[in-house]
Amino acid sequence: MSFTENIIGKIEQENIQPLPSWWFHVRYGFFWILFLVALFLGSIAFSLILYFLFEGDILLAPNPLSHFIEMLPWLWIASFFLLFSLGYWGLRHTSSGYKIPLWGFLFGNIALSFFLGIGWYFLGIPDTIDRATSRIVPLHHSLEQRKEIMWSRADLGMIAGVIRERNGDMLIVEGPRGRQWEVMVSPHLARSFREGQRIKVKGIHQGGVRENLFRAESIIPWRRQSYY
Amino acid sequence: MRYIKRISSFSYEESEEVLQEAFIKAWRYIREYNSDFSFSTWIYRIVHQVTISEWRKQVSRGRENQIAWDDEWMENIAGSVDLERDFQSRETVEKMRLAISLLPDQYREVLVLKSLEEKSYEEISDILKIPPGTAGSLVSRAKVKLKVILESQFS
Repeated sequence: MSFTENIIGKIEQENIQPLPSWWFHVRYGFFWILFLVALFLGSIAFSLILYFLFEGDILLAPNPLSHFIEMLPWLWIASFFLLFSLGYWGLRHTSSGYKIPLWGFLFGNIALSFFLGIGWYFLGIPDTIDRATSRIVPLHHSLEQRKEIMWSRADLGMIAGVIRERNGDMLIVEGPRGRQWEVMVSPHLARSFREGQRIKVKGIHQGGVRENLFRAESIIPWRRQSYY
Repeated sequence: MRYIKRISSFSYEESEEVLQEAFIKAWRYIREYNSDFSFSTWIYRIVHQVTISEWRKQVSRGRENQIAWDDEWMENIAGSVDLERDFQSRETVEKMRLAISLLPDQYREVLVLKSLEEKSYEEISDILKIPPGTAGSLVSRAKVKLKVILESQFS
């Protein structure tokens, strides 16, 4: 029996049929969807990294370098790299994705994640996701929680809270645990803020007889970006 | 068949079996083929996948990863790295055999496709499912690596 007859014989004997076209469409469609979903979720993870970098008050910390390392959002960095790898893997398994080199994918993905990430950031999506995640993932502290700890250090000249009253050169600020601070500011600075606004204050804790007195050197809105 | 033997050291009978398996796979996957590249490139891809998969299975079972190669293999490969030698000499043949066996698989595969099968980088890219630039750089690195090994063998 010749080689060709052998193959034809086996195909007939085992009734081997070509796989239907839809099978390939589904298969390649799955990998395209996987790639697009990974890209989309990766851009959200990227927006969370941007959110931590922009809103993490890194430059306001007494030791910016150690604060930067402390504030690194490992969960979101790991998520971004995981989704990046998944996206690349998906793309490589599409019908022609193998033609795209890794560096092309790397730059393309980062550029797209960056632009989409900035969009998500301005829409307030990272803030919502970060808060929700901190409720679900036990060891993950949201940026809000981290910042509250950072800005509860009157001894380091850092307090935060909501302005309850504005009285000339004095602001009554209520801290996270209900503590009322009397914040001395210049009248000009006091006029820049309104009651009900959440602020961060850098300055000097006066202590002594008036335990709640704080002399402000600078006042910054709680958030750089207002989503609400 | 020649290609199977060039990237593995299957015997004639084993190569026939691998080729048969490859043709059956091609028949099953025939609707996957599209005109983005030539039919011959697509067949090469399937033969390559089936051969490498079968060859790796054999190597993992303890088979020696030694490539069977012929005179054409040797002269073309040596020519591609500008090595002028007398290939009739038994010593030269042995050194070439050793040098080629020392090449990592991926380098050996691209060298076979480029120097023996005379495929373009674009075709190598489609056969091995790698970016065309990667195919080009793999071929260059394979030649450099082979030349280094050969020079150390002949020096």
